[in-house]
Amino acid sequence: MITIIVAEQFSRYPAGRFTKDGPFSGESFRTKHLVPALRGIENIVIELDGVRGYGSSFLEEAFGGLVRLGFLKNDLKTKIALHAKNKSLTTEILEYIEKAVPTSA
Amino acid sequence: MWTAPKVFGLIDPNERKLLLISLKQLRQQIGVERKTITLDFTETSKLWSDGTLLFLAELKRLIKITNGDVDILCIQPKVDKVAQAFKQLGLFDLLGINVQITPEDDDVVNWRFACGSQVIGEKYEDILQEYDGNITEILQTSLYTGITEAMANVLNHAYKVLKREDGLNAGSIADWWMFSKYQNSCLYVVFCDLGAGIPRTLPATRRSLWNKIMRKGIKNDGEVIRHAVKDSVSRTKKSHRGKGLGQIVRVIDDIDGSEVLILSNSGAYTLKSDGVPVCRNYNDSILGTLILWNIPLEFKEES
Repeated sequence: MITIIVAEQFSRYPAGRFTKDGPFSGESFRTKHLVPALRGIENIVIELDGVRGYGSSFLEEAFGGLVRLGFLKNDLKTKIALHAKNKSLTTEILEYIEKAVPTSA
Repeated sequence: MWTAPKVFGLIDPNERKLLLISLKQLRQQIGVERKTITLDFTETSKLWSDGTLLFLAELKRLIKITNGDVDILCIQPKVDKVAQAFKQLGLFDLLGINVQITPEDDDVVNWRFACGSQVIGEKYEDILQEYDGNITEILQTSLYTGITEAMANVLNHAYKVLKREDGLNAGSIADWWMFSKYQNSCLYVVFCDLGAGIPRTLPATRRSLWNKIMRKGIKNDGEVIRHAVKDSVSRTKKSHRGKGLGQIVRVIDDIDGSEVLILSNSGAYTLKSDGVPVCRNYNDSILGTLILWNIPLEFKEES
């Protein structure tokens, strides 16, 4: 199992959707942290607290983007454990995973 | 010579008209004619947050477009508070003018200004860090989210689709500007971009919503903004894109007495924490988008 503490290992200032948007975008978080961990077939604990906030574009691209890359929704829900004081945050992320549409090959 | 208006404001139609005419003249003289210019602030006596930020944004953009090649001189304001505010916001430094004035009035020293061209969350600290401890964690998170989503909108919508209709043919300069101040027990946060504006970008960014608006026969910018916000707020079960505007508006959720105002091109949209949205339309366009959050805030007593 691997633990990702967003505020310490990524940034206290996550923001934006794409890498071109800025240095700590959802795409960047997905590429640098989520995908390598999931490719290693590891379970992930993500500590979400400690950052300034999460915009919808960051969260959707980071987590919904996994589905568009081909990760299975059920696998993601099984492998990723989300830790946050604000429970609506985890609900929002699970919703992005659920609503994301896989990109056809 | 460019004569600044007496009042820098965008809400009152007359003040707005005079400011926007002045800004058009500024674009002509710096951006088109590119000759040495003197900015005369002698008569300027009142600076509202909205108009002041738009002016600073326009001026910084013009300096960027012209690579700083146009000499800009300045006649200082007669009104001390206006001079203090310009000093505090860095206007004189921007123009390379040494003005011997120190911002010291309580309602000026807390004015903060930041600008950028990417989604840089850290910029939040430049204008709002000092309020840590005096605003709730929920509000901090909400403001951070609203501001960074506004930055993301700038990059992905405001400048991407269409050019600004200002006659400068300046290409894509995806900059944003923001400002905060604390006055009369209220925190004011203003965010501005000089892109195509929500009403002009909507046909390209949210086609189905735009078609719906057209079917309803809506032609004014205020109503277009209202529909864009409404659609964004209710977007939980729709496409994964387009929620940013909803998060921008929801900053004021559950904060009694707070208000969000969106000015975009000729339209205005106001939402109070306890009320229904109000739309308004002007005869002139700010050629961009400006978001203003107004949040009641009492500072905690230091122990």
